[in-house]
Amino acid sequence: MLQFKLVLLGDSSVGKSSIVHRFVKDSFDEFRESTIGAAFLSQTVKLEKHQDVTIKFEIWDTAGQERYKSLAPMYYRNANAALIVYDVTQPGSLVKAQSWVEELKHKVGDQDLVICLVGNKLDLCEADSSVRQVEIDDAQTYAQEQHLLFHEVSAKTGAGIAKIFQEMGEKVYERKTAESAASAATQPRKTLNVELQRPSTNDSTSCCA
Amino acid sequence: MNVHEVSKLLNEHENVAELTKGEFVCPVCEKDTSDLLQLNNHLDSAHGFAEAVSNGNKSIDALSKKQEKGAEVGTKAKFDLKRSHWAKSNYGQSRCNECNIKVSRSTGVLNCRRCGQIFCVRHCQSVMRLNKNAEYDAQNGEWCRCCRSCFNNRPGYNEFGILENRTEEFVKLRTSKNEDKQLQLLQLEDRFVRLINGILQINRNHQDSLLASVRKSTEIWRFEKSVVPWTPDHFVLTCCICLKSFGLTLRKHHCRLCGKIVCDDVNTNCSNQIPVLSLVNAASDLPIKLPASLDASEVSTQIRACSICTRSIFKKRKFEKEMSMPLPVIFQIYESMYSNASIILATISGLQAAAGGVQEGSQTNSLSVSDVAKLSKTRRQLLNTFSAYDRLTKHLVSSQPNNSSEARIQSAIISQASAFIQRNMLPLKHLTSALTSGSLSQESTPETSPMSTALCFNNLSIKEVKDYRNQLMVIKEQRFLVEDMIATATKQRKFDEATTLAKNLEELKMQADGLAELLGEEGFK
Repeated sequence: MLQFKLVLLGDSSVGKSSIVHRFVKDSFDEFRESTIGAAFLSQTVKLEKHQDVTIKFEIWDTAGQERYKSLAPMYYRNANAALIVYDVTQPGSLVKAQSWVEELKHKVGDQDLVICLVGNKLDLCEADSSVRQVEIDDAQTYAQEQHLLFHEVSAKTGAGIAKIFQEMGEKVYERKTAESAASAATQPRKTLNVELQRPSTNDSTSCCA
Repeated sequence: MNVHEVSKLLNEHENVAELTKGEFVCPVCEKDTSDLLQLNNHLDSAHGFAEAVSNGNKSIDALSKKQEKGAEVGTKAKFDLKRSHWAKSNYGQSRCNECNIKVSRSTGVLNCRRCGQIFCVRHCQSVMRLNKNAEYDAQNGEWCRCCRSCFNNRPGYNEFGILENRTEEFVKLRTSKNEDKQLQLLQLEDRFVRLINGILQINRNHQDSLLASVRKSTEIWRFEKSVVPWTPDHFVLTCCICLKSFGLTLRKHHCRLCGKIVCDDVNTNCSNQIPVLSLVNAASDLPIKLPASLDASEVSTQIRACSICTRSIFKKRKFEKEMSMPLPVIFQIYESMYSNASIILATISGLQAAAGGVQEGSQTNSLSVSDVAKLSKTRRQLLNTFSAYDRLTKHLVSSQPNNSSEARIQSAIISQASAFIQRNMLPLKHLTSALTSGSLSQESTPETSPMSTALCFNNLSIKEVKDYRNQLMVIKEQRFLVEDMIATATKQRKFDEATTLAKNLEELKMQADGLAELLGEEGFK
């Protein structure tokens, strides 16, 4: 099973952790405490487009608070995908998201990284359209300019969450296969790798130690 | 007012009667009266207070007679008070004018006898003297219930008591005391001048004689006694300053200026032998005549003076003399440091406001060239002032104090100065970075103040050290978190997750080590 590293970035309290929990556990907590440092979760996705191939996301959910900013580079380094989240009711969070995009492009380069811009808290706008502060068109145009994937979602209702990860999964899978195909073309012999799923552990709690 | 409050108030009303019982005991005969009104009436009738008010000079005899009479009569004559202005009251409908509660049997209802408004018993407890027309009459009125506002608004009422201006009296007293003191001082100075002149004259007379040493001292002694009458020895048992009793070891001495008997204990310094010459020098403004043919340096006579006299004559002179002297180096340095510091503070606050403007301006790029020039000029000035301050501090550190108290002052100033630098360097650094990151970047910081290097640790500025420490702290926190996550993952037998996490832990460790190395000495021990 292919594994991909995915990192969530964005201003504090835009709903990064909520999106991840909706995706991984399909649950929503109204009063989630703000994340400390970076949390780790993993989830598998079946790619419908590619004959139900299963891939696995290793998700690093970083804290949005300024204090933890220094941790972020460690997690977006070597990442395959980045989810940059903003809050559709907070224009400031989009500015922050844009600065994250800049930082990623500057430090990582987008040929290695699939970036998806996500506007969260869509449910608030559906209830009352006046609370929307970031127009979908503005964000969409920006995403197109920067060649990012773009979605508006709601972690509370779950709308659009699965779709993001589906699309991201497809993208990273396509890149991976294109890459390996390219390397296979140049070095055909090296493709005969046997991949062992689980690395052996010498843990005493394991029965096959 | 909500229900809860109302019920609370009602409860209070019910308790009033119980609470106030015993509070209105007559202070004269200890008779228990039910409220203030009755107490006042009792005092007036039984103890004759009413008469005491109307004609205050009644003899005590008459008062006591009245008292007996009052006691006999018991109740006062019927008093017809005007009632036409009273508001009509209904239980359960009318409301108390003060607390706005509906009056009922439990709260009681009363009309203020003066204004006629309705009040509950609780808010109609004041009493004042009213005449028949319900007007305030302090002299001949009867005690009547009234509300608090009528009580407070009556003429002559003063909530904080009577004010009496006694400043003039005090000033008079004070001037007379001061004049006394001044006079005593003048007398003392006069005596002092006479004494010194006489002694100098005697010295002059005996300048050439051979028997001088013998005769001079007796002559001086006799002269000293003539200037001020000496207190006789017999009746004085203790020193008049330190109050120690005299004896074999503690001998009696006379102050040559006031004639009082004092001891010469070295510990208390009650009196001292003082060379005449130094006295003359210390009080050079007094009309002391040095005889023409006298060699001043030859005079070796000493006179005894008590500490009180010396102080009253010389304290003011000494103070004036010290004031006119140039300041010690330390204080000169401190004064210029002080002026520098105030300049720095003023400039920093101005610059901070400007820097705020720059940061906003950098987003819109609308900062004019003249503004930039002005800002950079202020900044340069600030840096110069800072380096001047620093130089002064260093100068102060290197200067030698003259005595122990100067040394103490010096160390206090130094610590204060270093605190000042620490407190203000940080905003300054912040400012410079804000300004340089703004549109001043082309200026490329021409001068770094000498202090910024002095205050650097391990080639890092304070701000960098702070940042790195914060980062290190965050990473250490994250290490704990990841260790925890590994434990959970292994417990749940998610070994691939555990390996990923372990990799991350490794990375975190490396990063932490890197930061610790960067911080060096300034890291956490």
